[in-house]
Amino acid sequence: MADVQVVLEVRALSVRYGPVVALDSVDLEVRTGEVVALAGENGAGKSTLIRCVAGDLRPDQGRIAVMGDPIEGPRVGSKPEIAVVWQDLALCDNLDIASNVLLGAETRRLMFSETRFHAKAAHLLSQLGIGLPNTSTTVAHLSGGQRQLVAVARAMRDRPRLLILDEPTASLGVAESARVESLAASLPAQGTTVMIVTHDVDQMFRLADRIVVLRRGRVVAEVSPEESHPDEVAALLSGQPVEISPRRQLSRLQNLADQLASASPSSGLTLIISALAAALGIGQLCVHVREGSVMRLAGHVGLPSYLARQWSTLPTQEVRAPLIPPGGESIGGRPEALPGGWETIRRDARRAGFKTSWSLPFTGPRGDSGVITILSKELGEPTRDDLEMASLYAGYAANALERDRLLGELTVRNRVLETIREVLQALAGPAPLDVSLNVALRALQAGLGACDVALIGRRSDEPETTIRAWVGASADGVGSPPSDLLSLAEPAVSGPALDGAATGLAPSCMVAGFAAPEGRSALVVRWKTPQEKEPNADSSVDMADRQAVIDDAAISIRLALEREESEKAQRETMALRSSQAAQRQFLSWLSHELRTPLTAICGYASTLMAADVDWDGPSQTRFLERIDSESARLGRLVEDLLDFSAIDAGLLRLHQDWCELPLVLEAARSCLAGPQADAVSVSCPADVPVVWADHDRLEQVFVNLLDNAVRHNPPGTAVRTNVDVGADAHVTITVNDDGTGIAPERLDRLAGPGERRGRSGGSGLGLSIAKGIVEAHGGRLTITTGGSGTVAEVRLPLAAFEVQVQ
Amino acid sequence: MTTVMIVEDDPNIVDLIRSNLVIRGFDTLVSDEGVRSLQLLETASPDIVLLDLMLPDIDGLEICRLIRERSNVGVIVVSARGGERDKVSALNVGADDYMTKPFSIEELLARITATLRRTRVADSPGASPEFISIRDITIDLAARQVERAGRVVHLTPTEFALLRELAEHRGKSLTHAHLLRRVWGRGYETETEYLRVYVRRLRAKLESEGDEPLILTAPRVGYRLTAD
Repeated sequence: MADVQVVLEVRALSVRYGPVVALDSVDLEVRTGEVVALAGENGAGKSTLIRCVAGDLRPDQGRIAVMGDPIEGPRVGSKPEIAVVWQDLALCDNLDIASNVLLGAETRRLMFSETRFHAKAAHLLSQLGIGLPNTSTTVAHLSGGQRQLVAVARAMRDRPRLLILDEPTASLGVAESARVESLAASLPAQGTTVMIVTHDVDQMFRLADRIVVLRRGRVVAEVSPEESHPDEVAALLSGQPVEISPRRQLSRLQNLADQLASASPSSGLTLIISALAAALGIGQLCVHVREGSVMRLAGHVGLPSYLARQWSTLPTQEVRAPLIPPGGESIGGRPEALPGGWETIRRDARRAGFKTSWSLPFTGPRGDSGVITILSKELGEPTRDDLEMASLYAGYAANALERDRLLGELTVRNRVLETIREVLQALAGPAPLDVSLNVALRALQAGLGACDVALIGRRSDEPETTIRAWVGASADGVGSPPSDLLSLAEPAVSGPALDGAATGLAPSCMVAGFAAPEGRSALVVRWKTPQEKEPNADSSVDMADRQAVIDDAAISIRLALEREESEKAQRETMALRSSQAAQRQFLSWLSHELRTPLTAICGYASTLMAADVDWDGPSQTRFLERIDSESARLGRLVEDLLDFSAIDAGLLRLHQDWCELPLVLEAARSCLAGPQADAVSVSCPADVPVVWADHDRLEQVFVNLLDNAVRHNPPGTAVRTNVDVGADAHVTITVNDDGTGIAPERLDRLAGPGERRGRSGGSGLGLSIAKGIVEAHGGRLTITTGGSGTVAEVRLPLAAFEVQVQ
Repeated sequence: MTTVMIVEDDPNIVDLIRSNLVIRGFDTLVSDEGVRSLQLLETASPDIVLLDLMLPDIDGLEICRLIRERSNVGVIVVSARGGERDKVSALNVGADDYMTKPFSIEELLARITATLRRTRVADSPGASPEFISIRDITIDLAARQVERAGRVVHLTPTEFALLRELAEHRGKSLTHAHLLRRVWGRGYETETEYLRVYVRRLRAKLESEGDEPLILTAPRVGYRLTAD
């Protein structure tokens, strides 16, 4: 860091508002690398001073210099040497963190890329050591402390020489104040001097290197925290001599205890003990807390370790230990017999050389009780102040106990809620029921620490009980579920008696039965060990909670099953409806297909018979040819229809025989018109086995496939037919063209009836029939299409036809 | 010469129709798609259109509607679908006639002649009066124009022929068969749904809601035009 120099110099600064003197000849110097606290009560002139420094307000007299340069009036444009974070922060609530941090510094480059913009903001924040969730969080959603951090980050963006924080923690809680303070304390190391305006005396002492006290417009003192005392500063602030009394001491200690407690809730009790020890100026004390039928040592200060061991648990039936001075008389005025535990303490303490021991009981909001025991080597009764302070701390201790207990409960409660939430989320999600059931059961298993979770059902029409879903701790849900789960579910699925409530059957098992759409179901949850022996019983979910979780999960599962059922019904209705629509469409298409050749035949026939026209020879011949070709078309159509309906009804008759594939393919190829046949190449291994098939039907299949490949592609497209004998007792024949391919949505329809083929003259049933024929042979026909070409693959089984041609 | 536009995608049917029309002295235009037929309608203005409903690009009914939007040309729909509903929906979008496949050549020629007769302007003014007025409606028989409250009402030739038949016998009930024979021609006497569709179209153009009906229905008998 550069050598120490004056960042800010204020000389003889005076500001008046009419008759009111706001600042009266104020001198101030801030040097690099320090944190200066500007202290003052309301109206002392703090705000006026910083407004002058910020150039917001023109002083009536005096001079302000930053880095040696005098300033006058607001400075615009140039890089500011001074940045101020005003108490109101001036953030844009509707913008996100990044936009606020970079407000006014958005360059074109940054605006161009969202990623770069957020990366820049995140980088700035991390440089400053500010941890904020996500730079795209809207500022309106941040806490007060987070907002303060954002404002500081923005002020620090251009690395000012001096950062002025105006009451930065005035409206923040303890924990958030601590974050802001630690940020402020870290800034001088990064080259920015900090001036913090505050009236929190303790904060000044925590943060500042120097405290400048302002009162009624004047600098009344400059003190160093190391050489001063907070009370002194408080006196300077108010102008009144401060009464040093135990009460003040108490309030400070209370403050400290609060802070320590909120800094780390779980260690609250221990901190309170230390604070009490410090407050009373004593070296030894301990706290016992009731736990069931014993008092357990919850914390201690300065106890010899053997004593701590001896006193770690004390028997007691009655917690209310009386306040006993060493002499044996109760200070509280109630002469009572000491309970057994405190008899021990007194005896042990005396043996250990303590001259005085006194105990103070405390009771928490729920009656959980504890005892604070104070030991002293000095002889003497506790003073009233001591007692007062001890009882105050006893109260804190009770609260801390209560809070720990609540936190524990909250954790359990959260776990219960979290489990239910996970189950619900899984079941309500878009995943198929089988998947979501598994996720839900897994959540239950984890949430309840269970070993097995299973959904077991019995359909009303079957006597068999089956496991619908199961997750087991043993094998990650793989393997088979233990069969005894079925017997556990038996009572729940066999009768309605147990509906709606999880029941503990065996000590380690709970079952919730419910009526599912298709019969009865039961949710079975089983633990490895009986609950009583469950390890870390305090953190696990208790019986009633388990029951509630399982019941809730059962209801959710029932609803999911019902939803699945109704969706299934809906799907079936839709399928039926669309198949009816398809049928109507098919009939309409069929009527068209049949009527078209019929119209031509009728038309040409009536044309030839027309009385008013004498047709010439060539016309007559043409008409007769047309009648002939249309008749053939009609014949083919009827043939196809018969095939189709036979396949549809599962009645296709095959005339199977030993059949040589190369011959089939060659025959199919020769069915194409001359030039088309030339485009088709057939490659077939020499040792291809014969198949047991209907030669004519297979030929029909390949005529169709080859014809499709040739006809649906531009002329000259090559069609390759390939025969491949697979190792899996199948022979695969592929017809592969490198044409334009078929649009995927058409592909679906190709396999069904009704696909119109333009003017091809075919029935449009060819592919469906081909598929039916291949399937009747026990094979499979699949068509895949891509950007380049379509592949039709016919897979025929060989397994049934073991004989091979030698 | 009469030009017939054939909108049909099956080449054999096209050849069949065209051979028969050409030898009888018609001119023919052929379009195998709907969109092209609309272009031809503009450029070649045919006298009559034979429209197949199963077209590769656009549904034939939609083409019929588009033709009606552009022209008064006679349209005979040719369809493989013979249901009542198919017929009514074709008439509803403005077809003048509907023919079911398969058909004989005689039937085709008869329908073409009947439709042409109706849609042609060639009617000679007869003994009947030049103008007929009913309420705020004026029918100019010579110019084949109808005005309602001084504004021209656009009617297709078939609509006009039906209105004229009713108007020339106003106040008198005309039977379905009579109207069908007079407007569509012999052989149409049983096609009562033609009449229903066209009466509805006329009412929609000439009557307003709340008016006394202009065209009255004689149930199961026929229709008459109001006498007042």
